[in-house]
Amino acid sequence: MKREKCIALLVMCGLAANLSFAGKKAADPSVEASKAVARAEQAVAQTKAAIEASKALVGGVSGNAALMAEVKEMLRATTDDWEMAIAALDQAKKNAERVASSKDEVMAKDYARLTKLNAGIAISGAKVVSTGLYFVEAAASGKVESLDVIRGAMSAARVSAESVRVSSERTIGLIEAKYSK
Amino acid sequence: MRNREVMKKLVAVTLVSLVAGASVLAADLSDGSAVVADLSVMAVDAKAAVAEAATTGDLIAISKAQAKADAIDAALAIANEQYAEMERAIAAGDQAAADEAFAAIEAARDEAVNPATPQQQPVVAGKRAATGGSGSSVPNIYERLSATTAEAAIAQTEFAVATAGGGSTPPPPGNEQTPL
Repeated sequence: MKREKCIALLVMCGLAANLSFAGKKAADPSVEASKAVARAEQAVAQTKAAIEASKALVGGVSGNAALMAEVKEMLRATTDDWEMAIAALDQAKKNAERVASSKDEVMAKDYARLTKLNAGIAISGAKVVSTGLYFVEAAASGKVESLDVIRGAMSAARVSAESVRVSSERTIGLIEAKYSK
Repeated sequence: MRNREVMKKLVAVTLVSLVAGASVLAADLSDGSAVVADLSVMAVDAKAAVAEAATTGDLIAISKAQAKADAIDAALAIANEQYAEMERAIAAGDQAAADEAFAAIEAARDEAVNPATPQQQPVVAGKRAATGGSGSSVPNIYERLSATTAEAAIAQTEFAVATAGGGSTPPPPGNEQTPL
């Protein structure tokens, strides 16, 4: 009886070890790249819908000239972020395709990383635009008490977006350096 | 424009990679830098979540979102600090220290993604790991966009604002935007 228990215990330990190993295995670069693109697509689609919705809202701000000017300025300031988000998403997709077609494992991983970086830039740009659109929403619905919070969030989002830019650019440079030897 | 320069660089990396093949160093800083970039994206997302909560007027929701944003910023600060440590270690040829710093960067990111309960909060490089995290729950309804349609959407919104009676009054003091 004891012997059977020992065997059962050993089998369980073996299974647990296998499961643990499977969990620690490096993720498939193609899968990682696809997930990153999907996340970026989702963020861009969400922001696109918010842009459409905000068109109907801006009229609600017309009674307050100063606020209207601020809304206009905020939208103008987010135009670059939106362009960047779209361009980065396209680039993420291109790199994701290269992950799938790459025969070299190391290069596939680096393409996956480039895909993730591009996806991150796309998400970051889309989120900054979304933050600006929340300002439009609050202004249009007369939630004046929310505006200061959103102004602060927008300012902080821009600081974080700058961090995305700096760290992404640095990572790209480091990846680039690998292949310039 | 800075953003366009970033995109050009991304394209350049792609082209170089295609022709050069993979002659890769054994260990590099790009691992750590990529995690910092990942955390930075989370930080932007968290700020958007604060703004979203503000539109509801729910003070508790705003407070919770702000706490998450602060926690991610704290994790990002730790990650940046550890990245600098990783740079120093690699420059000094100390791979063990570099690996340790990289582990701390990953721990900061993991802690931001999956905050530990108060009983199991880990310590990252001698400091309390920050907690927090945010995410989007919007269904995947992506349809292919072009920069042209995106620009048109923004332009139309601006036009609507302008024609709705907006003047040329500058933003109120304290609301200046920091350009990217």
